[in-house]
Amino acid sequence: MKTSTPRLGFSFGRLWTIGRNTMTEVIRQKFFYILLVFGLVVIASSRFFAQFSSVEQIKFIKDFSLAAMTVFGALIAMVGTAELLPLELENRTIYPILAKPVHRTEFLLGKFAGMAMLLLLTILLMSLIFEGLLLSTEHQLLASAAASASAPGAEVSAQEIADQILHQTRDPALLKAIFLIGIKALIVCAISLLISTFATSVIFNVISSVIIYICGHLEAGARQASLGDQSPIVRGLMLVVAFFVPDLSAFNLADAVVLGQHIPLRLVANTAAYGIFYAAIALALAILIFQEKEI
Amino acid sequence: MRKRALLAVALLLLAFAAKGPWEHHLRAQRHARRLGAGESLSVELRARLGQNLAVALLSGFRGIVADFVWLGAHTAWEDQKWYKMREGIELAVLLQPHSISFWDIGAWHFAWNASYGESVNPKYPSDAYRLKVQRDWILAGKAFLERGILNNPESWDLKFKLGWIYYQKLNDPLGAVPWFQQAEADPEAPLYVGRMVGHMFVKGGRHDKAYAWWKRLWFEDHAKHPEQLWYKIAQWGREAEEKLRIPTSQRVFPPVQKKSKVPNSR
Repeated sequence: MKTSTPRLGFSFGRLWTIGRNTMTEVIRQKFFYILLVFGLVVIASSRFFAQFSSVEQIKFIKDFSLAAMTVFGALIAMVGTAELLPLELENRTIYPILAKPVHRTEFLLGKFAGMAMLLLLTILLMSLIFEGLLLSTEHQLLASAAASASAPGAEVSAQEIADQILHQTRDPALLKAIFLIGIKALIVCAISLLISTFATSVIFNVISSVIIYICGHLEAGARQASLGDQSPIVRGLMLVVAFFVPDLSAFNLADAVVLGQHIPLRLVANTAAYGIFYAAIALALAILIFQEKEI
Repeated sequence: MRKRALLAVALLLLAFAAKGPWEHHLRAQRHARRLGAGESLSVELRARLGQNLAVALLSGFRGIVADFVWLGAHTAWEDQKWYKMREGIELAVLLQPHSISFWDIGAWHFAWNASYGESVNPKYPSDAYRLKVQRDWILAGKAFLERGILNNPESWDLKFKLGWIYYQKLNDPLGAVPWFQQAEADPEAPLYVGRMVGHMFVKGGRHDKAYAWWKRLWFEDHAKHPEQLWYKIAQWGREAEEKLRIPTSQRVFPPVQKKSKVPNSR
């Protein structure tokens, strides 16, 4: 007589538990704090542009802060995720978990969810500091604008100068840029998780993620080169890059936001959907490999 | 089991293939809106930037790279190395052609700072030569802003600044008028831009046109722009009426007084 074990259903409760534990675990790692502190220092350092004009000051603060958010978001995603699976294997904590009625899919998605929550928290924190920095700069600039407008012979009212400063500092489009930075970090996280399902070392994972990150910004060029008159080997290589690597330059709308260019919400939503789609492919591939992996 | 795995791999390959057209669509959308898509890194640009900045640029940090180049230009300005400053500014706008502040401040460096610096440069053989170099820098600032406007036709700011060069550096207030008017036509332009048009007519001796302009501003809906300097417009309008000897019965502007009473509507 053939016996069959009852099929274990997918549980969001288990996924949530794994995700929450993963987040706590990563927060406990010291490197996370170092990166966070470093990120905060870089954002704060952008205050040292006081000798520039108000327009330049605000541009520098936005550029530096958004770049710092991008770099540290990606670094936390890469380094934090790269350590997840190897650490579980090294500490042998993965065995009791998988011995319980837990899907490998739930385990992997839980890990991803944990990192995603952590990234959300980090970006939220950096955004708050960024906003604080902008508001404090705005306060200073408004004070000096009021002084210059009240000078004898001034033909521009303080209100007119204030409007121009406020137009730059209270720009809701910054949220679009920050949102896309978050989505980009999620893609990096998914790629790193995918690599960690077959990589044997953390260093290999981090280096591979960095290479893919850089290639991701050159994806458009690779696609063009694959159609150009290069040698067949180069064209083939470029085609592989263009086929598998995400176009991360699509998420670089922060520069346009800082320059005050209009970015339609539709484009932001479309870009975010693309990012989520790519992250889903990477996760699906990771699940596929992880399910076949001998542990 | 193997069959399922193969099917999953095939589906994933299909998904990877589907991302290509999606990326193309996104790129086209960004390109249509001039959002920085498709700006490749030429060999010349790579050489001018140096290795580190080129890598940063390739990693998607165009804004930061442009800022560093700009900081270099700023230092060159402080050191009064005008040609080095110009090189930096040109590179910065090459990296970010839609940065209004780079065009604006760059033109100011050329037409004001470098032109003044050269006008008092003791190394030059004569005053005539100094004047010529000074004028060259002013014209460089003007040409720079014109390029900025070509790159950013929607910017009222650059048009305003070009008008300002005509007024302040080329002593041609009437030449400034079309630029101030173009800037004023932008609904986002602050109200002082409109007032500058009237001032330019006055400075250019066209009191009739200035009067017509002050009237145009005065008959705008005052409630719509409470921040407008209405009492000043009334004062300037009154001055124009005096100058043009407008009969009292035909005068529009109330007697000069601070925060004068304004009509409720046209």
